[in-house]
Amino acid sequence: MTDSAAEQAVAAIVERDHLRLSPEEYERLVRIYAELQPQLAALRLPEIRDREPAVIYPARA
Amino acid sequence: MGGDLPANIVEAGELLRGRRASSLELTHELLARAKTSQETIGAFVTFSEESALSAARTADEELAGGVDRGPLQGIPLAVKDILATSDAPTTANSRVLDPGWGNRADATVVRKLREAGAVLLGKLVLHEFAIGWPDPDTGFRFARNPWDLARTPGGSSSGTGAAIAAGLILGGLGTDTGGSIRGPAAYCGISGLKPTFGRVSKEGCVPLAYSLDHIGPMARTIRDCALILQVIAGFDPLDPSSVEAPLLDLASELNGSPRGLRIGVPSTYFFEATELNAEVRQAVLDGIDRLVAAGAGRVDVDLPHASVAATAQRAVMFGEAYAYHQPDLQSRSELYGKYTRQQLQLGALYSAADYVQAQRVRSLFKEEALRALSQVDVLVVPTMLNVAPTFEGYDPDAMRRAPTFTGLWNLAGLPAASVCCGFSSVGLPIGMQIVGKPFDEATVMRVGDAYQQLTDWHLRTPTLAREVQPA
Repeated sequence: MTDSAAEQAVAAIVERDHLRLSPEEYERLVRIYAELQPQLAALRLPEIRDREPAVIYPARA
Repeated sequence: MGGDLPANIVEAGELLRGRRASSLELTHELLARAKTSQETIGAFVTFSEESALSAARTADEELAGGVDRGPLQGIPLAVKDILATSDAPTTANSRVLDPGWGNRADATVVRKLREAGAVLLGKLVLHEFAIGWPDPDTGFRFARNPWDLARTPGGSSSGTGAAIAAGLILGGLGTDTGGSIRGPAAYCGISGLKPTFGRVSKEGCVPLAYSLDHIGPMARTIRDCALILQVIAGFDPLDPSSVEAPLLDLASELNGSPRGLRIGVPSTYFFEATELNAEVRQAVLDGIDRLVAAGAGRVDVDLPHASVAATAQRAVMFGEAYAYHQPDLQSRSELYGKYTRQQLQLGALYSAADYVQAQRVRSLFKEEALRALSQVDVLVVPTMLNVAPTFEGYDPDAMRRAPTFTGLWNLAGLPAASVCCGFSSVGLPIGMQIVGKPFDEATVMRVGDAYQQLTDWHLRTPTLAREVQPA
């Protein structure tokens, strides 16, 4: 992911969520956003293609 | 009562029932110690002196009159200041939490402790909203590690860990979303248990991440943790995630021996992590060897998706925390401590699709963990990557990138305990984690207790604790 793509994405998120960030906080989010993308892509495992998102345990046994 | 305080809940109970000490004496002594230590260890947010002394008097009167409420009667404990209590406000160590939030009845777990006759000395420091890191600018106290005041006691149940290690309370409650009971237990050289999700009611607890949050006991020994869990566990209609599941008489399950139990050891991700401190690794492997020498069996198991599950745990935790905090981040973010605000802001970076994928990975990892546990009775892994770090040089981003050995069991909802299994070359405690099957806290605790019968690491106390005496 390019720096500008990460910056555009974070700018959109910040505007959407009405977040108030210092310049340092903004820069940090841009940096971490770029770092996170490969990790989050790894969540798309082939073996969970047909898996339901699940609640761990029911409210009552 | 002097300097010879009971070392644990069991010992204190024997003193009280043998009339060799009163709860009132014990409570006075520990309150004095705790107050004296506020400038060094700083474990308490508030003291509930009046109600504590009243509860102690009641316990003494009841015991003298033959009314025995069980092993917690007259025992001085305290709870993390993220749990509602009727005798003090709840702060979550934050300027953000509505001060009125604490103006309410006891949380279910607090009510159960009081009904069991426990004496609650006050409310304990935590990392802000159970996710931040100490920021002096917020005006809130932060706890220090009694083994080395330049180091953190771990978080987020920092005050509970520090207070127990320093001998200011005999036990307490923490909460755990990604390791906040077990981390402080490891860093402070005490015991702590995160129960199965649903085992202990979360009613009256400020949430961090709804589907990962757990409340659990912390104490010097696993046996003491069992006594606390026995009281606080149970179905609660006020908590939608509460589960009606039978709980054995835990104390009677602790037979002091691991004989016949099978211990699963997952090497990949855990023991082979490059970030794992060599002394921690060796201490935990030595701990496993000790259990095997006492009659347990060792089985190598595999958790191939542990790494991606750690990513999923963070996606769920940051996403759920962001859902709770978003309005305050929008309207008054300056009131959060710097590190808390930065942590919470990360939740904005996870999309709804990321959250759903994380839940699907969660489902996969849960099955994988249960498959591994079907071959064994417990898994044993390190609790933390390292010993307690210093406050100076804290890098939240480095922590975020590192493997987590604790958050995985929040993701899967499995019971997990930390026990002290040694000390580093500079004298800092090391934690060994024992993970069990759903609702099988009894076996987790049996292994932890057996280990503590075989070793004396849990009996060591920091020099500072011995020096903390009332003026």
